[in-house]
Amino acid sequence: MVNLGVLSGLSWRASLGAARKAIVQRQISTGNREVSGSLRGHRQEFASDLTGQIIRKDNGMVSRSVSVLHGDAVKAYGRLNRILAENDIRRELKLRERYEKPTYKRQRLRRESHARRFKDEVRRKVHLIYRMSRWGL
Amino acid sequence: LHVHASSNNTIVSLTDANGRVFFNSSGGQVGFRKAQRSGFEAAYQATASIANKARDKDIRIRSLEIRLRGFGTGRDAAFKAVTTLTSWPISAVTDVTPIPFNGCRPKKARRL
Repeated sequence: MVNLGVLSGLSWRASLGAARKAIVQRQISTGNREVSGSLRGHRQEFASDLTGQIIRKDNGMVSRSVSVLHGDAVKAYGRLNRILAENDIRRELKLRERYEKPTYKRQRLRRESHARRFKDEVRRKVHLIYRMSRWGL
Repeated sequence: LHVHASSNNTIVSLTDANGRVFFNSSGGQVGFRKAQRSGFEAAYQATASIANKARDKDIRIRSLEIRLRGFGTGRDAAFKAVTTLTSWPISAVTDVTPIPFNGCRPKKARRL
């Protein structure tokens, strides 16, 4: 099973979009498909094939699957947890448990983005100072 | 092996590749009641009971895919039970918690 999300480190939702794009590109690159004797149009065949492929790909769980290498299941579990943590899935689920009114949601998003930018700036300055101290300043 | 780990209970089902269930077990089925069903021990024993049932029925498992749903305490417990109590070869570990792409509206916020 292709694990696009795991391999390319995208968030799992982006990787679902990537999986869909990959499927589309594969379809298009096979060139002109002859209507294989059925009365359905070219577009309908394409669409039904596409949905078939997506459904077969476990629709949405592709990037949340981790294949176990060399029988080490514990490591695979650790990798799965890492993916979930990096994508904040637990937190998102907790937020979705209860409805959050739009006004609270806006306030929360503003707070979070502000905090993120502030922490980024501080981190940058700290790293700069660290590098300067290594250069001997 | 489907592990549904909610905040109140953990239910474990062993199914085939198409989803047809072989065995079911849950925290309540192994004797825990109410709040204890969601604990570590309950999930552990639930997976143990499934392992026993499979052994009794002589079902050989060639490869197992573990599907985890929900983030309760039973999630870890069931996984540990499968790795320690059974010798089933695990081929993949998946998380299948249903995450809506902004689907249904959740219940209203609790005001404590």
